[in-house]
Amino acid sequence: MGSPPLDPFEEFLRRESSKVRARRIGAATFIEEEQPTRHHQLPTDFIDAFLLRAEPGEHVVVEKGFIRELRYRIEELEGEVRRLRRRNLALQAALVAAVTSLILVLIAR
Amino acid sequence: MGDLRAGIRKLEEEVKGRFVGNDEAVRVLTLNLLHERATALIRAPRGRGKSTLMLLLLKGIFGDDFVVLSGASEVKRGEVVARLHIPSLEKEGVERVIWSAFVKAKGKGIDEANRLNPYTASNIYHLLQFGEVWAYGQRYVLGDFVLFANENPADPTTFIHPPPFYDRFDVCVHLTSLPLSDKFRLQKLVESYGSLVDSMPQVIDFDTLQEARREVREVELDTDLVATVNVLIRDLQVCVRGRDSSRVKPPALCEGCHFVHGVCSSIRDGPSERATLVLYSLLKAKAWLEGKVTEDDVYSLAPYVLVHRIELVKQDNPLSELRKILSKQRELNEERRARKQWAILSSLRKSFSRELYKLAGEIAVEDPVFAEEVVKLEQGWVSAGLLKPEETLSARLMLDAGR
Repeated sequence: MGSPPLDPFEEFLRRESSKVRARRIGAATFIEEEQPTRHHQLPTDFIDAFLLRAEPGEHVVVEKGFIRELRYRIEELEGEVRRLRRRNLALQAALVAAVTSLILVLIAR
Repeated sequence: MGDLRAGIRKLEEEVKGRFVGNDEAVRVLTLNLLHERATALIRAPRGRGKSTLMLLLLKGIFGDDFVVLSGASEVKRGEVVARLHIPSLEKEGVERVIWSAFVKAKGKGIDEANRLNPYTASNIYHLLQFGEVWAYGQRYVLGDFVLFANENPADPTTFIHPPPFYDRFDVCVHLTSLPLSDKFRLQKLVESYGSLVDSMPQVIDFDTLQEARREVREVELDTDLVATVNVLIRDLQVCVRGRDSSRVKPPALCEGCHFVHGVCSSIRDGPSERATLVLYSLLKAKAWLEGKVTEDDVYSLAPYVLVHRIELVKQDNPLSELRKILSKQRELNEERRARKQWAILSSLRKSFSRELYKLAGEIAVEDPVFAEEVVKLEQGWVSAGLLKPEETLSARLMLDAGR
């Protein structure tokens, strides 16, 4: 005896479920979501995408002035990154020296 | 089997060979022929070839054996449905019904359907839907047939028929005027054929068409495709404020509604369930004729099924507005897939889980079709004590507010 035919709606839901990657951790089910495919054709204003977190299209329109400001900000940020890297290096050297001194002191005892 | 398909393709080619432009309309009308009691409406302003197209298709199937009813307000029931045989009534007192040639013909045409008076038009509602007519308490079963009608909605002598009349037509095609290059083609065709309609050969017969229809009926559509159709039509029907039974229609009805930016807010009156059935038939026909059918076909055929049986909020250019709505609905489907919401619903239908229910609640506020399925399940959970009434989606979204 074969199993009774599935209700078409159940069959649809079953098919959709089989496409889903889900993990169970304890009592909870985690379903991995995907980013929906967008079909935007028109250019998106960069400001909307940047400040309002709007979904950008394939083409983004930006004003010249905004690019200049963006470049200035990127350069400033790169300068800040370089400065922090130098400080990080100095701190790493100080940490190594401190740990070495500590080890030497412990050995000397 | 191959011959059947070749016959249908040949019919389409012969029509296209005489009817310049509007190839897509001819394709849709051909596909629509492939199910029982096929009815099609051809809409266009004057002089675009509405009657020509109707006659080309009728001639291609029936030769000269078809009946065309010319729409005019004085056309009476006797001509459309039946009349009494007066001598029998006078001499014997017997009501003998003489069914009209239009009723008895397998190939039917209604020219300028917009000119039929509403009383006459109502006589054919039943014919279009059930393939039978009633007159003087007697029934005539027509069985299978083909019916084409045409109309010019801008005609000054137009009667405004109610939506149920148009809903009886499976598809509606709009004919466009010809681009420059096509005008040259038309001139050449008229020169070579003389009368385009008279030159049309009978390509198939009605028995062949019926055999093709039987084969098309046996075609099984993939579940995913059926789901795409069902979800599409439901998206166009759904209204959490009960649009169908409300005297207030969108956009006024949508004021303050959570789903005010949804597809539903662009529609004053949604499609009937006939739209779903016709779309299935067209997809089956396409699968039979071309060997494959995809989701793209659902969206390319849907405008022909929907344009005459749906009322939009923006009515200036219904076809273009409808295409925009369909595109929006398709994007919504992509989001549904990405959110995996049908898998969540499937899991919730099997057993209640508070985590998944929370997730479903978040999705439901974006999607009224999903919301109504979750709401259906909530009733059981509330009865089982798994959920408090005030925690439910219907309470949170105030789904009954507008009803």
